Amino acid sequence: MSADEQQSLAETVPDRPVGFCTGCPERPIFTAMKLVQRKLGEVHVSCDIGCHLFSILPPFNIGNTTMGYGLGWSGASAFNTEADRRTISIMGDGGFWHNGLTSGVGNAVFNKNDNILVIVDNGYSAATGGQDILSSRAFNKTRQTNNPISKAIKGLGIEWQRTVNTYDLGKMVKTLTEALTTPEKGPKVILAESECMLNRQRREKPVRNKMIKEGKRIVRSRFGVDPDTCTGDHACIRLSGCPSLTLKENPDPLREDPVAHVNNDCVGCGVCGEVTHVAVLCPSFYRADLLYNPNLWDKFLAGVRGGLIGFIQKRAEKKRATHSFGGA
Amino acid sequence: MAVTKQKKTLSKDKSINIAIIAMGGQGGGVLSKWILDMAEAQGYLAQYTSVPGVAQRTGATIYYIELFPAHLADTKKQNPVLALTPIPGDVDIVIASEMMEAGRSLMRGFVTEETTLIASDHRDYAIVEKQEMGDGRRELSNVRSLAEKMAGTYICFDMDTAARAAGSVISSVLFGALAGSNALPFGRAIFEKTITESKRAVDANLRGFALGYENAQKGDTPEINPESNPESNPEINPEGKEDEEAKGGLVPSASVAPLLARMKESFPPHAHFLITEGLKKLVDYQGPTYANLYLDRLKIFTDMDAEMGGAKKKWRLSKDMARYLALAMSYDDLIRVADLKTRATRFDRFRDEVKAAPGQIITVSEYMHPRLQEVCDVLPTWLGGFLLQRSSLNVFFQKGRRISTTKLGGFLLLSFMAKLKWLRTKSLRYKVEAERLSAWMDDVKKAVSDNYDLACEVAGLQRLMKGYGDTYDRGLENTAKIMSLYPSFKEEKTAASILENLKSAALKDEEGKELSKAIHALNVSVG
Ligand code: SF4
Repeated sequence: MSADEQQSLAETVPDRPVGFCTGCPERPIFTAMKLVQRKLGEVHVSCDIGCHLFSILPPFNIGNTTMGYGLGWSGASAFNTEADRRTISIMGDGGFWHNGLTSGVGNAVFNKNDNILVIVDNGYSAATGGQDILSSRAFNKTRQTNNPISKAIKGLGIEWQRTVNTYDLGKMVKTLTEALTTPEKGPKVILAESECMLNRQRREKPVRNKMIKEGKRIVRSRFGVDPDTCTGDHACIRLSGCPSLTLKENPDPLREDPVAHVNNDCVGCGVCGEVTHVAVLCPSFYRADLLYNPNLWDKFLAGVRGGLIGFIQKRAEKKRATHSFGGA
Repeated sequence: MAVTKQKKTLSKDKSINIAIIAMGGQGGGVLSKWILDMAEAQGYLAQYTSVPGVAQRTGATIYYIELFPAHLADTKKQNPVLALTPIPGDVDIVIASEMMEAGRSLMRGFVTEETTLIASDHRDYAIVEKQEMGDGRRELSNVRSLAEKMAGTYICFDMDTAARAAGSVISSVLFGALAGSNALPFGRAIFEKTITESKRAVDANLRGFALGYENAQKGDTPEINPESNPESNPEINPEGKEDEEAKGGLVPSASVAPLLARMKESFPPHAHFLITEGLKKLVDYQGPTYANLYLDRLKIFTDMDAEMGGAKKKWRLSKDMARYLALAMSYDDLIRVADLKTRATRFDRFRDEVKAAPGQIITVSEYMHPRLQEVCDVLPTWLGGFLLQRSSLNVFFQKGRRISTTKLGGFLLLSFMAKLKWLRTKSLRYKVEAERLSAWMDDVKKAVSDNYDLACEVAGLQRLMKGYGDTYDRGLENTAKIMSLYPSFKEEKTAASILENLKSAALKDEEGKELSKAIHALNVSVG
């Protein structure tokens, strides 16, 4: 290959780094951080080993240092000084039990740290394949699970602690903002909870499929984008990076930039909708709830709705047809 | 597209090295396992390696497989040492599950004239392509032509579409293509047996396999790839001939026929495609009278274009203005959104998009977040302006709303809003937009006589105007930034390309880093 050809390949083939899975519960934590940083300015973020380390890659680009497994908070302990902005450290539940409990939390309590720790509690040592750990919620015959992190850190003396469901983006933004701006001194811990989506899907999907086959009433949600209201700015993608949220040719021949598009892998985690609301994005996202095995009432209701809506729509179409372009 | 170059089968007396260049979560592991099982059953010592931690996580990754004939080990009475990673120049078969990844295999030097390259000609966009504010998608014609040039055997077609058609996943089609390439010394039946014995989704996988196999066996001459041939777009209709019959004999309604007639009579044929689209959009947006206003405005520019000898420039100014003026005149407001969201055609589209079964009941919720600004936008100027000053009203607009268009309440609300079109031309936003429009048109007009290309670039500033709320404001801001610099470079010979650069920098990132860089560079050079 000539040098020119090498060069042209280098330009068209950019890196393809790994990223959070479709529907990953850790994604919205960093979406929230990105939004908070927009308002309050950049924050020093000390990362840890685990899936959450993908935050350092596009589209988030969040994270300044990583020292080792469970060392998220100790990695930022040198910043426990008088400063006008607090630091945020990240730790997974696996890293927390590995050593973060002592090296991070214990250290912060002992040294009267005034900074913030976000513990990503997804229920497993997820990055390595979903092994159980002390705080796993699942019942385990041979192990003692169900030892909540909140209790452990309470025992160590963490007074300021908040538990937030990661998918509740609005609450996460509020909690992070509070932690960064409260006059209250002392170590602050945010427990960001939601189960690893990969593990959850592995467990739930077969069950759901079975129930659908058995004729049980099931609702499955997923998201979509209306291509005619999407203007191709991709703000949603920059705040998400979900593999299911991708690009599609713009169906409007006048518009040049591709529209956002949700493909069929979407697991309906809801982040797309939350982002739209919290970041005040465009009105293009919709959630579709697909109903399997409807009961009589469902059918009746759908019939009434569909009938009336269809009637109004037909009237509107008729009116539009008076301005038809025919084949032009 | 199916490209196939001559096929040759590898010797049974040599080791075989196979690299699968894929994205995590695409089934590269399954494919590796099939190859491994098959080779072991056929008397090979086999090993595969992968990078842990990228499964499901969509990053570029490599699975590497080495097959060593057991009989060689037996005669030498020695076990081979199999490698963990592919060595550039020493890979017999490269399987790339996506086009950009095929490019990566070339960059890494895995593909030589001895190599069989099997690549799927489809795109799965990388995050760096997706995150741009404009069109960040890479154009890969260089990958396609280099792959064909460099590989000894080259098999390439859209395996993603094939997989979907078969109701299967891409790994089965890749496996089929591998069989169809005849590179491995095993027959089709042996491949199929491997799938059957794996006992998982056997029927779907066999269907995908068959499509892969057949496409790889076909020695199709490559079709011309539309992506590499940007000139082949349908907009040019130089004679301006219309073939009514070809269009199903449908005639335009009496209300729009005069618009089309006017276009045909007094606008350059090169722009007809775009003008027609513009007319359609504006008639739909506001009505025929409004669309006529579009023609009035556009006429100024097409006349100027004719004067400037636009034919030489392929009527670029006319075409650009036809496009951008239509977009500028159809800004998105609540009325428009409500209108688009309640249409029957949209209902059909979302059913299709979410793959609802025929007759399946679905409920759709729209994620809307109208702010006080957007509500005032559609009110008459005086009322909108008055309410906008009442910041206490903001408390009603703090939260996003979920409105279900498949339920009566939500549907009626939105279809009522859609009916407010008549308010539009008297609204606050209309006035603001009209002012912006006329300033922009003036800039284009002024530029035309001195620098035709520059005028086209000024016209293209409209491309920065996207979205709603903050996104839209950012567009305004970037445009203002660029236009404040405009006087400093517009006399330059390279003014057009300077403006083009600034524009594409503005579309790179939302923090405005690239734009600042470009502005800085410009200030240095212009002084
Ligand atoms: S809702 Fe959005 S973020 Fe969640 S899985 Fe679907 S596309 Fe991905």
